[in-house]
Amino acid sequence: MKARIIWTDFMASFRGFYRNKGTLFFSIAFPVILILLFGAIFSGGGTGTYTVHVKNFDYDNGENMPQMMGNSTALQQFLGNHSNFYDALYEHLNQTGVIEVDIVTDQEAATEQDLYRYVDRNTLKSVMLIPENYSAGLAVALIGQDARLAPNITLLLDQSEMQRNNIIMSVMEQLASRYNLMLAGGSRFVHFNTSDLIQEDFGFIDFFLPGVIALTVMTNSVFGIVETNLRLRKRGILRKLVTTPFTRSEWLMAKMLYMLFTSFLSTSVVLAVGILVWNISFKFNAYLFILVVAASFAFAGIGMLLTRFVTDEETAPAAANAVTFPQMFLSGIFFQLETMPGFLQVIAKFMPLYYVGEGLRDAMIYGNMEGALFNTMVVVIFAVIVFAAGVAITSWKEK
Amino acid sequence: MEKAIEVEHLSKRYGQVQAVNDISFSVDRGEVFAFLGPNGAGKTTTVEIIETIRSPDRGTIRVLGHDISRQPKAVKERIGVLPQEFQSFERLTVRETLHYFARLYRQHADIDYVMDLVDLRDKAHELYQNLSGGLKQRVGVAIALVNDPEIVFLDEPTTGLDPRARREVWNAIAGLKREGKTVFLTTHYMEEAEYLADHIAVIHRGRIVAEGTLDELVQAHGGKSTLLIKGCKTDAVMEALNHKGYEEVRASDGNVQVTMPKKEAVIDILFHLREKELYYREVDIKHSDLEDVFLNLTGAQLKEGDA
Repeated sequence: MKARIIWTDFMASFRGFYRNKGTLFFSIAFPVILILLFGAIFSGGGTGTYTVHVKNFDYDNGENMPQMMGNSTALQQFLGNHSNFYDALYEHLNQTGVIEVDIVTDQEAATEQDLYRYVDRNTLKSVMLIPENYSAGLAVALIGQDARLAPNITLLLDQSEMQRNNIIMSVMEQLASRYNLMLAGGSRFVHFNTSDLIQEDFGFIDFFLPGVIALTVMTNSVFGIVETNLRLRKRGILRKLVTTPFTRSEWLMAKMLYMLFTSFLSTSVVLAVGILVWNISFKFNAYLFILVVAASFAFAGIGMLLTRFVTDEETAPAAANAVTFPQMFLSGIFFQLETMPGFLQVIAKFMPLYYVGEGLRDAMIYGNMEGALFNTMVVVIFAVIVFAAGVAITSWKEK
Repeated sequence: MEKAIEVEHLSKRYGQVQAVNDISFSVDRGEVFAFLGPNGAGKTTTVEIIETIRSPDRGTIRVLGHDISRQPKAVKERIGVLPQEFQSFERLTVRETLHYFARLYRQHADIDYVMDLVDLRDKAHELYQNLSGGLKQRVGVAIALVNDPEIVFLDEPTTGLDPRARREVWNAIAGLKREGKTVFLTTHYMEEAEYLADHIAVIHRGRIVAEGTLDELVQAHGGKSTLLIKGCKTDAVMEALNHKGYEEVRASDGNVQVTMPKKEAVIDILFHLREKELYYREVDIKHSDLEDVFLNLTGAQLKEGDA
């Protein structure tokens, strides 16, 4: 196998790629449009208000603060017409127009453990946890003019909601600065600690982005192989190549190199849009790489099988559509599998795209490495079988 | 002379159709060999087997002394092929296209030299998709030359081209002959074979029905030339020619048509009419050509396909 020849063919494909507006569109612009469009429709993004669930374990409710602080004018200014610290805090938060306070009652969660269960059960995305004796602690710190004595308010934030978290944190920081200025001349007495919440219920865009990557790799590979084979056969280029020292295995290697290039290019573009537009936070790891490579080989193998059995120029793209379309809609790419009827969920399990999408989600978003390993293994085994079959039956020679 | 190609007892069948039926022929080095026949005669099947695109059912083929079934790699390095209806990569320039194919070989010719051979230098940076039909075919011929091959196979290189573009391709092929290349040309255009070929094989329904130089084929199978004497006294002219010994003489519409045993007889006839003071408006000579050869051998018209 000669690397020079493989590289030559790859470069020819690459030149054809960037000079073909149609290919550029479907490899790059199409997934971008898809992710922007569906992301905008389903992710619920925008400039609305964000509910922050507040659990206050300070049963003193801050009512002793004025007494402790000797009716400090600063505190009076803070409280305004409210009788206690927290009523003032909640109103200030609601007045921002961005945050809406929802109080978690003792019936809903009486202890910190209860609270975490409650958060899980209700898949809450932003929770403010006020510790016991917070107001008293803050009063002591203010009286002693020692910010180190001030207790913390903890914000539990869903780490998959970067955009939402940024907005909430920004509002909180501004509020804390205002309080500190008002109560202590700017010293940092009031501040918020943040803590991550890992929720099962990620935003749609977190669910959708790995699906778009899987979908793009599938369409690039299946249609790439089918279209390339048909075009080269129709133009007599395959017949020409048979008469040169270029071997079938070198040609297949060159084509796979090109397929991998387009797959990784599309993946990079989708990831870039995910980060820049949707603030998606995901994990780079080996599974992402292995899944994209294995999926490219698997779907290229399917493309080879199609072009071997469906040689007619008009029928082959239709056959490719017949293979890709059901997977597109039944593999849990656009919609979660749980929303589909039971029998369709069973059918999905027979589709390679399902395992690619699930594997990418597990690896990139959920951090479920066990699931990522399982799905990756399924895709790799499928890829080895299908690609080997594709190579075995791909013939250059005419009958 | 050393043989460039030797084909012995080659056969190929597609299902019920016997495409090539036990044919044998050879091509000398340095000659332009035309494989002439109508569509479906078996030309492309034969040439594609020699080019290693297809496998034969039976028969042996040696190219430059190599058995193609045992040493295909050695053969591929030394031949250049323009397949039938070949269209190159649409979004590569002419230079990039030639560079691509050149790099597939261990050794290759200088790209500029190849472009000069087929007069493509000024189109070097044009995308293939923007070229005219004739230029595309010249690129095809250039591609077949990038490895400086000893044998160039051109399968129907001018099919679908207009007369001007066809002439451009003919000039390129004539240039190959001057370069001393062996050219294996398949065509169903008799003018192409007449213009370019040193050696012609006529194939019909999978069998070679005649083989030789153009003159040999016409002499052997073309029939005799005819002389048409227009605007004359037909009775007197017929009588004079019959008296001179010409037996196949016919008259119609004031013209006389006489079949000549050989081409040179035209001088004898015209000299005889002048002696007899028999005058005419004009004469027209029709020689036999490959069309007549094909018609006489097969009963079919070459241009109209395999009747």
